[in-house]
Amino acid sequence: MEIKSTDLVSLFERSLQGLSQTSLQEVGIVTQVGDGICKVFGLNNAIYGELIQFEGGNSGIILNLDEDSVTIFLLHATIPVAELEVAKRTGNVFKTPVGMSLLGRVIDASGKPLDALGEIKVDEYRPVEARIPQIIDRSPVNESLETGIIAIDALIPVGKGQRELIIGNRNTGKSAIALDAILHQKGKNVFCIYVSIGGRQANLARTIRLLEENGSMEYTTIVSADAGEAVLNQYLAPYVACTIGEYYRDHGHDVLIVYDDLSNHAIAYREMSLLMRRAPGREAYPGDVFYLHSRLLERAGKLASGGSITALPIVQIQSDDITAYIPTNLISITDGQIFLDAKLFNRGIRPAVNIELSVSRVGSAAQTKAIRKMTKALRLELAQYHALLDFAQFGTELDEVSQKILARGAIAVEILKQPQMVTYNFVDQALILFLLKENFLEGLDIKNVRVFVTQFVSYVRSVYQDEYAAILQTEDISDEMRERLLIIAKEFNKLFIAPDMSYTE
Amino acid sequence: MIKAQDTQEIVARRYAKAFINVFGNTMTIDELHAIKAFEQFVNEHKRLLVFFMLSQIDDATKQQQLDAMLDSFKLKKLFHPLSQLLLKSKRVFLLPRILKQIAVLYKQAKKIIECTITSSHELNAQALSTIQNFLARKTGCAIIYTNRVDKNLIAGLRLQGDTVLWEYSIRKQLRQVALARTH
Repeated sequence: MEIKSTDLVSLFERSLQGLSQTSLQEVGIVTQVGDGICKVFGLNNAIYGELIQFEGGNSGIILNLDEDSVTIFLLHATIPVAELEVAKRTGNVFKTPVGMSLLGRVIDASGKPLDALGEIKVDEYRPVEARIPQIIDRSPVNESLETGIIAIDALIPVGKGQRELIIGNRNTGKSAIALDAILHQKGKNVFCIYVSIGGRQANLARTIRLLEENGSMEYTTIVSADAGEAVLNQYLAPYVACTIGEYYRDHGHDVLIVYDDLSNHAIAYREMSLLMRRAPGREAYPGDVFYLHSRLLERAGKLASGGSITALPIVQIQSDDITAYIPTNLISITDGQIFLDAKLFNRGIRPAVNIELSVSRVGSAAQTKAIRKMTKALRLELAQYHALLDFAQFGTELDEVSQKILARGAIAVEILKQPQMVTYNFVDQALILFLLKENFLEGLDIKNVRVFVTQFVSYVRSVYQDEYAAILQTEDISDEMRERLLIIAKEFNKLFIAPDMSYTE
Repeated sequence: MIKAQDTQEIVARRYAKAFINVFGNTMTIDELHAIKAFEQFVNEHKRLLVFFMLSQIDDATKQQQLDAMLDSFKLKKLFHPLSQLLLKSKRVFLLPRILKQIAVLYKQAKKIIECTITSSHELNAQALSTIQNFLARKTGCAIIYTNRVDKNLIAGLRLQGDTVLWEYSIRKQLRQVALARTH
């Protein structure tokens, strides 16, 4: 069929006649591509952070504006971009899909599902770089967010809206603590987001399976940017997760976000900065690496209007050195840190929380009364124990008081041990700590301590349901309740048969 | 940290800006075309520039050869001061970049858009003129166009300038369908 050129032109002209110039496409030409980054000539009116579409199907974000060109980081490593390819402005910054249907889903940094569970019903799209809540919008962190881990809830309590750093060498149980905290949120109306940055896919698959097996996926969203993905995705993943968290928070929910881990995030940003030829500073990180994390973690907090975002960023260190660049940055940004000690881990003390180096700047404000009352002197006792333990290693003969402190400290360390995926609610924790505080564990063989406390908790829960429910309701152990618990503990002490004794009998 | 290539780009841009400041008002569209043709020639024969960097050849000979080259593109008069300066400061190797920047800056200063009109079928002069007028009206700039036929468009038109793009073709629609299917 012959087409007349005049027809073609008039058809084209008609289709464009109604459009204003601003609605016409502004483009640039790719002049350089490589390492997930490309330089585009043109795009004169493009803005920083704008999403750019390439004709070949790839897309990217502008992260550098030069006089006559822009630097774009590509979102997809697998879609090729050719030299002289046309890049178009979208007029939008990078946005991520948000919605309640993201619960139970695994997505990548661009919001695409990775779990083969079909399309995600999106409520809205939000820019990943959002305005941080102002001082007037915030409320103090004074509500406890239970992690279910007795060592943390008793000594380094985390509150709703707090940023608590989990720091430690590799293989010291950092992710395990964060995952336990997620598992413990079941039935507590806290939505969880787990962000995997630069991790292994096998590890993520294991995490997903663990959450699924424990029924925790239904209140959890996983954002993944594994090590094989474009560096831009690893950079964006925590911001995407935070944006999703903000959506939940704005709907009045409490949110727990685990950033696993921000060392990889900093490394991804360092890679990007070096590719953009920005001046390298300490450890070759760019000058704005502090701002990279501070603007992310400042988005956490508790709002006066309801809803909160609690952040548990994870950072990996080398040889227990917490004075490295990124760890010190994160320590100063966050409201405390949980330091996991490789030596403790190797000695079988798990979770390997180093009490002396761990701190929660929110303190007891984020503890229930019951726990607060039971742990008043615990930190001091543990400090004395560790100090004396070092001394005792020299084989010095110790006086009776010191020996008592050592024995009590050993018991305290024993009750703070906790297997992975076993979490305690605050009543269980309060009961365990009660036994320690009221010296019911003294004289027990150290290997029987765990059995004793576990059986005691289950004894109170099953036999004295009213007392258990009262503590749960009031979140306190009053003087009368203390008296009652003393009687119960004495009663249980008589009933308790240590496992090794029962075996011999 | 700026790599050598970027430094050269910056220096070339400075030369180009200075050139436009001095000769921008007197330059014509024909000279712009000549500059583009010369740029293409220099880019295709980059080895020629090596001779201008050899210390064994005296500056007078180099100047003579450079003038001869410029003359063949009818740019001798316009470019003589610049060529002298480049030879003196031993920066003739920057010539292709400077020419490119001059063209860009001139087009910006004079509000000129160079546009490639790609069509699926041969367009007659009247149609091309209609498109040119249409684009001039839309952008408020003078339009210099080159026309080519691309059967891959299937049916439609594509107008592509340095910084703007209009496309209305079957190929575009198919591409959009394909992208929607893959994402």
